[in-house]
Amino acid sequence: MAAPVELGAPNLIRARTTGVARRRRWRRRATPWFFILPALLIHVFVIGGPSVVTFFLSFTSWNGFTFGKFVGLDNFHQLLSDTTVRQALVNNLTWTAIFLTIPISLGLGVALLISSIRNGTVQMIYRTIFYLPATISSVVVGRLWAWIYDPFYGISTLFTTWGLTGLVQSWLADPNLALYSVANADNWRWWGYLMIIFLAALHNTDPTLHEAAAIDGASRLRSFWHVTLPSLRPTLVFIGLLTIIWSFQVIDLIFIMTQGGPANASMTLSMWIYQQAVYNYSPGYASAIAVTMTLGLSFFIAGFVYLRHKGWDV
Amino acid sequence: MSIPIHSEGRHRPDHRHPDWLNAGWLKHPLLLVLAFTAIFPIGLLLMNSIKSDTAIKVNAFSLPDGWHWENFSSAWNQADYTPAFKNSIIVTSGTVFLVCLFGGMCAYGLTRFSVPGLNIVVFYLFITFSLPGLLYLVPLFVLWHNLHLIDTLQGIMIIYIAQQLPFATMLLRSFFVGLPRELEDAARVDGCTEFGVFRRVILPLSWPGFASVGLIVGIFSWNEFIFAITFLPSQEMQTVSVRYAAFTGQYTQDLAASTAAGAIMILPAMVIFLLLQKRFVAGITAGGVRG
Repeated sequence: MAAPVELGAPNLIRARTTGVARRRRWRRRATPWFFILPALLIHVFVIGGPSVVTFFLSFTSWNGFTFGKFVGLDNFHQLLSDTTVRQALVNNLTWTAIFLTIPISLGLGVALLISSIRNGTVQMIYRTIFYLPATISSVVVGRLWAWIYDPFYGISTLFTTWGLTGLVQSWLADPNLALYSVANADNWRWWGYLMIIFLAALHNTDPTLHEAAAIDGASRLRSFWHVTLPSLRPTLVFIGLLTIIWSFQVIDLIFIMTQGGPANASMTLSMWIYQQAVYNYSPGYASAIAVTMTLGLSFFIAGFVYLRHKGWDV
Repeated sequence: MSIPIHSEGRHRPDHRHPDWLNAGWLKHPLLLVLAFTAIFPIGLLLMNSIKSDTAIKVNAFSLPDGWHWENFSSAWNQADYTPAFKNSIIVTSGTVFLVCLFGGMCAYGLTRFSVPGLNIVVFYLFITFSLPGLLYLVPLFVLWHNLHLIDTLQGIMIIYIAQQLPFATMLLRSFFVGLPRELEDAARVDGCTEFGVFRRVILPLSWPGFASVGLIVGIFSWNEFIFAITFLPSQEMQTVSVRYAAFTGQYTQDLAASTAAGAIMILPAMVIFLLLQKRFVAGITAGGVRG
């Protein structure tokens, strides 16, 4: 690539080589950015930039049409006295509690059962079956379960013929049940994913540790408690963090199955943000809720980063 | 190094599992019950999609009263799936291709060079990985409105690409770290440019990583709903998931057509998963388990 060097002009040659060297150094510095910039620019343009704009919007009374004026902390004051926000927060916390326990224990338990199967084909068939619901679009999952919950066509008809009248409920229309019914549908398509991750983590545990524990006379239960679980700790912490983040952002099945109803019984923060921004034409207020939610979540992420810095193997 | 007594081949007890879990009599019934709950709703959907509307309404749990394949054609026509499938295929394949290209380039840049500033990029990707979609939806909508990208396939494609890039970059990065550098150096000595090294050495060697990313991103783009319904308001631009939602919202009384529409929507993703599940699972675990 270097330009051919002419003879008989020493000064010129020196000037040119330094020019080439500078260009080369520039190129060495710039090459990595040539690879990184397309992805980074798209991401900043779509997600990073608009997220920052939301932060500023949360201090305005913008209604989506005319430019809003700066209203200081008014949106945040409104948020504190908004009973729907309070209801949504409680629902998100309930959702988090459900998803930190049921799918994780189900996923881990089934991963343990499956990994003790010696026959590889049988293992693979189970794994495939349990993961299958996760490949289905949330719209279909939502409609399918709404239909199963339907009091006239759904599972209730089956319960009636079996005489299980206690289980004949309007699962989505009852304010006491709606949130749990949606959570059940979401769990149905979610725990298989956790099972796959736990299965991979179990394959990575060192079998010699278990042998050592057995030689030391540990029972299998103790061996599970003192060897298997600690070796799964990084995976468990990581999944716990993901669960918290996703539980606070949950919207799709709520959107499809209940839209937050009946009477806000299944309202979540993301659903409320969407309703405020899109149906209620108050993106300024919606931004304030979104910013507060994100700040709350970033505490968990910061805690995670802090623990990692302290040398925790998480 | 294992201790001789405990490596007597197949009869070695598996100490990873407590006794009660190894008990075969409990294990298989339990797994079969769970497998039934996982399969049952899908089976119900597929079974009812070939039943007549009256048969579904009389008893959704009865066996088919015949093969009502006309449900599928009537669902396809009523839901206006022809343009929707075209749109979904364009969006999905475009997203998969560009996420693999840009994500692969970004991962390569992050693993193969050490220049100040790269750590900040990794940190940025890690932080924004967990940003809620509802945080940036409103300004993005205004921006897309001003750029006339609402109701365009490239508009929704750019959003999906941005949303999937951090995941793809992280997964491919873990792939590239394991590739031997000697091959790249050999290519450089032979006169390859940096991009040539990426295209001729890295891409062919790490195709399993790209296959996993492509599958996961593809199924995500095929299924995505919230952004699609917000950014694609007019019927002729909508993807299959939005058309399905709109159709089943309008025609909830026609259960035969709406179950058939659901079956049509889920079958492509499910078949691709069943055919390529090994690659798929490898991708999920590489992205989910941090070693």
